[in-house]
Amino acid sequence: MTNEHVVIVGGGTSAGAVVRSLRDGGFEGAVTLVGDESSPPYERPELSKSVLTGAVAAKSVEMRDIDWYRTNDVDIRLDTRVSFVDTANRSVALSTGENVPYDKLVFATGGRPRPLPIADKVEHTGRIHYLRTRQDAEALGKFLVSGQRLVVIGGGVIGCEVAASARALDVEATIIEAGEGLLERSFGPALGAMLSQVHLDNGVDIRMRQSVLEFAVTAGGIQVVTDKSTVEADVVVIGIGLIPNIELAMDCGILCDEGILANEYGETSIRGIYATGDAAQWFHPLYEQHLRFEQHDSAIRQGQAVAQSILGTPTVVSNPPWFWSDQYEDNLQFVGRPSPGDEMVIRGSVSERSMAAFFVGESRINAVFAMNRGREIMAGRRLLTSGVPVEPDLLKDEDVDLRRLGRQRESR
Amino acid sequence: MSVKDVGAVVADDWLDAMELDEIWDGEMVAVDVGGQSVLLVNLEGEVRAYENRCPHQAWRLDDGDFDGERIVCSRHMWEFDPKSGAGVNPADCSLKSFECRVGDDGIIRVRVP
Repeated sequence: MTNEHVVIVGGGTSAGAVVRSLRDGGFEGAVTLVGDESSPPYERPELSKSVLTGAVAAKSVEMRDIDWYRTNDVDIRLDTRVSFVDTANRSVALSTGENVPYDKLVFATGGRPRPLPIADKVEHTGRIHYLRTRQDAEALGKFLVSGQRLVVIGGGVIGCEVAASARALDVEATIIEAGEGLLERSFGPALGAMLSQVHLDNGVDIRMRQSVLEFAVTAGGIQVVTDKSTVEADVVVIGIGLIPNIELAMDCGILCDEGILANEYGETSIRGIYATGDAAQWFHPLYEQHLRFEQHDSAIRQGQAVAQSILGTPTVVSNPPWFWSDQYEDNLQFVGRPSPGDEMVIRGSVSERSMAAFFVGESRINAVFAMNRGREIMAGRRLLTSGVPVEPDLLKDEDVDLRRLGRQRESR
Repeated sequence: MSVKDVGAVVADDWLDAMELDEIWDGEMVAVDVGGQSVLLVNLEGEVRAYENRCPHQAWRLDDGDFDGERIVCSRHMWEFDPKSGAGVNPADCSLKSFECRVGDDGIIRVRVP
């Protein structure tokens, strides 16, 4: 087993987690990582935050230094794509023309920003940006200078984080969102409305319920025309979602739905082939269905679990999904999955920017949102995972220590 | 062994942090020691002392969680081993630890730089 050759298709965060966990776990076989970017695997969360504002160097997000891969005998192929997978002969064809045999194959192919085709005709100006890679962040960062005008298309997490980073640099920021509020897809309408207010308070011009019809090149930049208004921009960021890269896996005949289907250990419909990260749709034991997450935490956990499967010590990933976002001075976190009809129980105060919202259905916590309340996320996660019934009144009561509440019930 | 037995040469470097009675087994508490915020962790009567800041983005760790097995930062859920301060998730980091002793008088003392 230790002489097996593992090939990882993709060089993002989850790929990095697989490699790291294989070597840290004592895997002695050959490891090849094929990534189409120029950097070794890195973490993406800071790309829209401190990397974008220039507070930290882009290099700081690298999971391990390039030398680590060499020292640990990892064959790392950067700026390289896998163009074809031959599952019958167990080998991958690279964009370099080379064929690499494998015993175990990992799809960590990630995703690509959903394009806005009407922006194509002004793309040559260099003012239209998407944000996925380190290179994207560096290119966009050059425009974020005091007094410049940024227009963000899409009020999701990426769009809101970019707007917040821009405001910190005194860049004028406008968000154009087709829906009713910001961040609705991630947090739901009630919290979306609350968070929209945070962006308004920080001077963001929010244009809700507007669809972009056209982009035009002007003397000083780009004019963005919506169905209700026009905005002048020096730079435009499009953040309207991610398309998982599942085509290569589909071509191999691996079962795919929204993502590459995998069991709770990360193995796909073909034995010895695994999927992990943004492109993967794992069976989640807590929800008893296949779910795909575009989240850092699951990218890491799944990558670690795939390594464990390859090491012969499979471990199930059963954690409820969790993600965070830092916008302005506020730390936002969300754990779990709300169910339709959940009651939202608020603890703390929105106006003081210190609150948690518990999504409760049938006396059980399904999800927790927190603004600057990481403690409630941790306590809520414990209550959520243990499935113990909760009293909404206790959740509201600031005198009740939720961490102890969860623990007492567990130990009895 | 009392703190004095450690030796007169270094005795002055040890500063009182708090009484052992004040920190329950399986809990963590932040105290100010010599102008430094120190995180004290009680592991079944053995006390560890760490700098009270997460190596990720310097957030205070006492705002986080200690469940007996892991210290978890509340900001981005970085996890640490309470015994060694070593990062668990991610693994490539570590809490900065301080020397720490409990004297016969039940006082926790810490050596901060």
